[in-house]
Amino acid sequence: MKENGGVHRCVIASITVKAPVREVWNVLTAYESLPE
Amino acid sequence: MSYEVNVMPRYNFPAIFLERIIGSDLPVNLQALACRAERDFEGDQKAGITESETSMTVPTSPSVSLDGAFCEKDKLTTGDLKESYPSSTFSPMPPPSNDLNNSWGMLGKACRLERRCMVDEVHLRRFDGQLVTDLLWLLSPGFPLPERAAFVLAVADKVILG
Repeated sequence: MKENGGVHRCVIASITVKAPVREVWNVLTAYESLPE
Repeated sequence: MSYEVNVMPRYNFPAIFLERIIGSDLPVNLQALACRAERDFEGDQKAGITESETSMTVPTSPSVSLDGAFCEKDKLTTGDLKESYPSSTFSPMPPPSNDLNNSWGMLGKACRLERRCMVDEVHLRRFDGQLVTDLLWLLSPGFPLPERAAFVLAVADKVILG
């Protein structure tokens, strides 16, 4: 987390996922399952 | 993949706490995302293999080793959370209630893929559990762990109401 000018903040994170992009996208967009 | 989120609080809210919440939750949410994706993918792979065996077809796809190396979700404990804030004066974490879990209602607030998300009208508007919901939703993509959510709730209560 770093300041990016004024009130702006910039946060960068990365992770390697051993799964196809499609699988990750499916998880990202499964909104109803997010609380699980 | 990058997200740009604008937060325009209507009340004074110390930015440092938002920074700490986001800074601590983002890695957890990413790990949860990876865990879920890898688990689903592994399930698909097994299903594919089973199907192939049933039909006596040799699978031609390369094998993928999925040992859950990035699946840290189950390792997170209350202790881990407290260690993240060793000098905090926050109250102990309350157990996650069903009400809280039920109020994790991204339903109706979910971003539509076809248009830009407008989350700045949602967050920091209410000084109760909904704030936590919104904060965690703000941190999506990811899966808020109940323990972490409860901790954030404790933090939020302390910061805002204390």
